[in-house]
Amino acid sequence: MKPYTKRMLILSGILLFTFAAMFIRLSFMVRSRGEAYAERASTRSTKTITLYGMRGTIYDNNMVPLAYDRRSFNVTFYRDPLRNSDADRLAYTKTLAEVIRLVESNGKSTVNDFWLKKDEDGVWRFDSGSGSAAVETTRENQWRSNFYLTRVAEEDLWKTLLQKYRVLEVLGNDADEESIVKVLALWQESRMNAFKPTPVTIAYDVGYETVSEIEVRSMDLLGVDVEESSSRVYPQGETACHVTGYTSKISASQLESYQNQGYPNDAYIGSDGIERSLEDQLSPYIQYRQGIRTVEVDTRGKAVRELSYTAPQDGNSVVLTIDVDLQNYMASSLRTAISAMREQQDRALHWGHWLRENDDILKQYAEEGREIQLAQTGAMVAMDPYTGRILGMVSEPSFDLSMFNDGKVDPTLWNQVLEGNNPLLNRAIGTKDAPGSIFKMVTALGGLTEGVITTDEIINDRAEGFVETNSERPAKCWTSHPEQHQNQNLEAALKNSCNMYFYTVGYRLGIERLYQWGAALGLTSKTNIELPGEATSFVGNQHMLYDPENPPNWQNTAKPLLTYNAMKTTLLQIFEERRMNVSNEVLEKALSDLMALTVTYNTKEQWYLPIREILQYDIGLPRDYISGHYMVNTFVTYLADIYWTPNETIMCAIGQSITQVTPVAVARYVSAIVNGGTVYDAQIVDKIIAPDGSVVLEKQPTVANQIYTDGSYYAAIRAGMEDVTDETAGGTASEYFANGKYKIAAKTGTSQRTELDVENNSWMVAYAPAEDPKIVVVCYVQNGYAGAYSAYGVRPVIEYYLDSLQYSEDVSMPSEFTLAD
Amino acid sequence: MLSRIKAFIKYIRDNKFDRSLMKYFDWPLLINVLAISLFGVVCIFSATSSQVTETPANVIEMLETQSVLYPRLQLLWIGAGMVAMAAVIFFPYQLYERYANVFYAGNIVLLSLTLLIAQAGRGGMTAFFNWGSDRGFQPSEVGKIAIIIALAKAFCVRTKPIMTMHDIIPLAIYIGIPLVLIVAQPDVGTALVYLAVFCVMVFVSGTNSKLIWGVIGMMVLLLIPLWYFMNNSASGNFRFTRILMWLDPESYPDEARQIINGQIAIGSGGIWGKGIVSPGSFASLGYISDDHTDFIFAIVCESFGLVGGMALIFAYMLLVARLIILAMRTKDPYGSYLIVGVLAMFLFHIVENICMVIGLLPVTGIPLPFVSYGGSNMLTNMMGIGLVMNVVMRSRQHEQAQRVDNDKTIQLKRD
Repeated sequence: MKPYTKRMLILSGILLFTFAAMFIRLSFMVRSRGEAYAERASTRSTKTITLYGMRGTIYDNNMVPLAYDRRSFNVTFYRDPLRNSDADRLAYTKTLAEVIRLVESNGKSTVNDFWLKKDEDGVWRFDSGSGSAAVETTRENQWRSNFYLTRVAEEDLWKTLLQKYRVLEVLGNDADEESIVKVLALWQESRMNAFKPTPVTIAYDVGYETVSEIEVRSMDLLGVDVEESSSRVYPQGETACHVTGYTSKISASQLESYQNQGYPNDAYIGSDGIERSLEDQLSPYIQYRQGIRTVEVDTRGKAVRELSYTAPQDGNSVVLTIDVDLQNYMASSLRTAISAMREQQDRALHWGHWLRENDDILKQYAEEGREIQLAQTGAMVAMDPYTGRILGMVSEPSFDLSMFNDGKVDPTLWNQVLEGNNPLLNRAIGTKDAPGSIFKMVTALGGLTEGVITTDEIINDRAEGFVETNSERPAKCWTSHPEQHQNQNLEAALKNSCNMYFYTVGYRLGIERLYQWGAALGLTSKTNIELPGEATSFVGNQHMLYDPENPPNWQNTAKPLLTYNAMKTTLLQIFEERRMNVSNEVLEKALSDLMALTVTYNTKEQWYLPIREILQYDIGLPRDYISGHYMVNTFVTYLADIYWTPNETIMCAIGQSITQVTPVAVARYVSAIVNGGTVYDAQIVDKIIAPDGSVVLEKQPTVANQIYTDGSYYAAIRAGMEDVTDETAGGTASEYFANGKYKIAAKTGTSQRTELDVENNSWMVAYAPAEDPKIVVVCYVQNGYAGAYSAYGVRPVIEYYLDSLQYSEDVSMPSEFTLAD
Repeated sequence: MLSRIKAFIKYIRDNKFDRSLMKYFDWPLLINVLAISLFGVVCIFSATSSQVTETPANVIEMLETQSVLYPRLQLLWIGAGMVAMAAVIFFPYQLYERYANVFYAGNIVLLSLTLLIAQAGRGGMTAFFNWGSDRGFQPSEVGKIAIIIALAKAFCVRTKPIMTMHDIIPLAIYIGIPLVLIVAQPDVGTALVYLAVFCVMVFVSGTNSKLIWGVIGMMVLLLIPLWYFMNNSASGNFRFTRILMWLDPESYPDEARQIINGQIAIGSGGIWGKGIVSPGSFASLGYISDDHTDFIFAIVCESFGLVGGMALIFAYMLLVARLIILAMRTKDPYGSYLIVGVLAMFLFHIVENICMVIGLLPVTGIPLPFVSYGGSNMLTNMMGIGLVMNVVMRSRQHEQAQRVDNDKTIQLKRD
């Protein structure tokens, strides 16, 4: 039986309807939505890649690079998300094994961090090495879900991975575990970033041979590509390490703020030194420096055609005021000084006379198990006195910057650094300590300008000490031969570093005026040097000793906390004895009220009544108990520790008491003495240069304060400092400056730390040539025994600098005679 | 058995291909098919082109810079298809009618062998016999022709239309056996082709509307457990997802990438298209997987625009219309059913393929006749055309002969 014609016609009708539907749909797609589709077509097949230039270079003043970026090439890998069959995995594993071979044949290595580690019992367990159980759990969950291994038992993980990624098929059944781990580590890198549409880096800094090999074989190396990158190089090793600083990856806590500035997650940022403080200048990641490349990509994510390209801008370069050669010379000189001090200290520690004299203290040390602290750490700063420019800055111990090369820090080296004597700390700006006698020029200038002394007034040393402020235990001069400090005017007093003279000046000035002069010379503020981590120097006074605005544990010294604890212990004991129930708030309130008395009243005599009132009414001690146990007197004694007395003032005048200064602040204070009263901000950045060589910023000296006073005062002080090194005058450091090439003026400072004199700090400030100063040098060695020993560091540096200055003047001198001939 | 073979040989000898048959060759049909096929070769070239930064200046440069592997192979398949077509035409179609059951049984054997021997290929399907690396022969493709030959016989021998369930059950079992074998592969696309051929034949055989509605009703009832099954079983899941993807592709950006990218390619082609080998086209970027086989219609529209796509659909309409006309004209029931079977096969391929690309139907792995790249498919399609041609030529000759006889009879009567 034949098909029915009618049915055929019905079928034709249905077909006509179907084809009409196709036509309508097709024309709708093209004509109504064509533009939307076209737009999507262009975004779908394009990829925007953000490009970054290179980080700026840090130069010394002679354009010797201290840190620069080197072009490097990374190998990247992109797994097409659509290619996830078993055969595809095999192909990718083959590719990865081949990449490992290529990279290793050129002496580099691929990323090799695999999160399964073999246990002693031979089982491969999850261990990403974070050390924290919580982090491990999160990571393992993440890892398992990215590998689709959520339900695989731990002991089967290794086997499952081997099978799934067909590693043994590629490497052979007898492959060693090391090479298997290498392949799996790359798979891990890819899997852990599977959500990202961009390739992952599987080998860093591979070198040109590998690059060309990979490019030649791009057809059979599935998803493998080469990417330009850069890595940081620190060519100078330990030289200027504290100034230069280093870069490191963004830490998790900083990530968000840097991301907001447009930094990528794996960016390197400056972590210390100039690298950190001038991050905005150096970094290529700043938004407007980023470049953009829009490329067309195929399904494998491989760039096929470049559609648009905006070149990235490199970061700006920074030229510093320091000089590499001088830095090296300073570093070695400082080490020489420190070892000379150690030698002297060793001699003392083996000298019968010294041991007998310090017998009591040494016994006490032995009892407490305290070690005698010897010279180890220190800093030296060289400054141009007329601009505040830092000529050199070293800190000891130092560290080798080259360990940060290429952004990879060897953990063992890093741990060595951390275990050491805090070598990362730039002691030239980051430590503050009692200045000792180098403070005396402040007292001198203050005394002269305020008119409490004249340059010619004679003040003699007295054997009985300075009885005016403490008649029971009067402060004495450092010398045991006061008869040598007689007939002293200012110049001689500085030469002798006579404490009695400066006690007298300080006593006459009073602490407020003394403090003001310290402030005027820049010893109570930061020098604003362009480096991170600068500490603020301060000069002692009541406010510095105890500031009631701040809690006891947040003060300049430990004294308020000690006082607070002593008073609290006493009160708590009483409460226990008497079974009193005093709430904590009442106790805290009473303690802070008590401590505030030191600031409120000017003399101790005025404290008695308020102390009694606080004890009786606020705390509720019975009146009889207070008077019966001499409670008020007890508390007066406690509070005396945080009460500024005239005796503190005279101590402050010779640089003791609680005053603490940083080496760099001292450098600018001495510069001000030398240049006649201009206090400059310390400056270590000379200029900033754009990548095209144009100068973005030429830094000018910044005047922090200008002191207007009689020029003869400076002359007198400088004369005193010149005498310090003068043999005929017999200054405190004259033997260390004998037969000098240049006339160097200096002042020593030996600030007391403990009862033991070997633990004294060593300070020296110097400038030269005395008649026309070109350089100011400050040397500070903690536990350096005596100020004069710092001359071992200071003198060679000055001579080296002036020699090189002389040399450059000679060569730049126009030679008239040759012209005439 | 021996006598049967002897009879077969004698039949062949008696019915040798007569050169005069060429007079009745249906040239419009062949030209239409060849035109579509050659257009397909160009589209395959476009689909397999690699990325370019600018459009090549002329055809020579284009051919020099681009891979012509697939277009060349496709030309080879077209040639092979013509040979296969000639072979199909060579034997009289009555022979196929006579040995219809042998074709049916042979198909079953091949399908079973495929299930047993062939290794799992792409997508977990066992549809290919493999040789070499990635080329293979797909028995279920050529099996379509066998099933058309067999079904046409089953329908033409009936004396009355299928009116009751009692009528349809034996036929359902007849088609059901190969169907189950294909579904087991699992190749649902091809199975649907078999089903489509069956349904169209049932429809044109004049079944009553009650049965049609009954079957439709049963299908709907069947859909409910099927839906439930797909929703829950792991293997059915991807087919279920395909349906969801079809309803709302944008919610499945990863799974429906092929569909979305295909539609974007069509839409972005505009009225006149981007041309072949144009920079930034999805065709050259390889953004649509299977763009030289199942999804080639997207490339047709991207390269030649709305105009090209509509022209292709129009060519298919001509082909279909021609087949319908030929089927109606042919007086021999078996020949007519053969043409209807071939028509149904093409129809299902064309409609399902184009509709899945433009988003009117869910995706099944079905090629576009004469355009998609593929050897087995091209052979099958050409053999289908050969069957039609065979029927047309022989029935026309027969009719002509009858007319001559009639004329002679009339002449004799006059005389």
